[in-house]
Amino acid sequence: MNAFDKMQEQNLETFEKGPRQQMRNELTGTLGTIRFLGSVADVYLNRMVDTFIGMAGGLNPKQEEPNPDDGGRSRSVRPTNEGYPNK
Amino acid sequence: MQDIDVIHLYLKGQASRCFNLLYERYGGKIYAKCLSMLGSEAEAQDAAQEVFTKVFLNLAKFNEKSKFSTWVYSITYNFCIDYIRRKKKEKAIFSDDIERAPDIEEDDIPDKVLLELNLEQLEKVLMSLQSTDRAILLMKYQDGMPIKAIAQHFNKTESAIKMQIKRAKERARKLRGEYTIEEPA
Repeated sequence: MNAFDKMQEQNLETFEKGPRQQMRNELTGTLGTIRFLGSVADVYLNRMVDTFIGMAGGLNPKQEEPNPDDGGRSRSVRPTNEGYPNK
Repeated sequence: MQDIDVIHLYLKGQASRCFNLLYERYGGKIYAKCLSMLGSEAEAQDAAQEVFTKVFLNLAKFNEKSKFSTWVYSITYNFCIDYIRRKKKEKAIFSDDIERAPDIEEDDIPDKVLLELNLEQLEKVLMSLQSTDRAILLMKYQDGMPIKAIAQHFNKTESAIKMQIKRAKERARKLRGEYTIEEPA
């Protein structure tokens, strides 16, 4: 075993006697937090983007087209086949 | 289970089991290399945690062109080199002079000048070197990497790497008090 191998062996022993479990615990916590934040971002990021687009005046694809009779101010269409009067 | 299978499992969502497997395999070695590079147990622990976090956050980017261990140790050495440079504000390691140097002849200082040092001497030699030189020696004599692979890692010529190794040997020889060139057997 040469000097470099001996040094690695010594450092591995230091690891086993010292920070091995503490490092494991801290890493588990860190990676768990990162995974959680990633999951939250996956769920809410799309909704946040849609909200910002809506606030900026963009059309939500789920919204129906505006009524052309009122210059587009209205954002909902009253269905004509349900007896609602058109103004 | 091979490393690549563990990685695939991890990416499919079996995070906890895979983390434990990879930690058992590489946690100690990452720490050992950080300790060899940084010389401080506290700094080595912090560095090893950051390296491990980096490895896991980038597992999807591992492209299987090299061994997983090579990839992990590359991240380790690069992190330690950057850490040392930031801490000590080291200047660039490879000067243009070394890059323009003619190809050197085969290194005439035997490896045993380094390999037969005791631990204390080896630590002194390593700590007296710049961060990249430290990494080069560890890659060659601890990880068994060929000169070509080390040169590719640092994006340098093989001659530049050989020059750094030769200088490290000269430093080791001075430390041991040897002033005559030993004739190779």
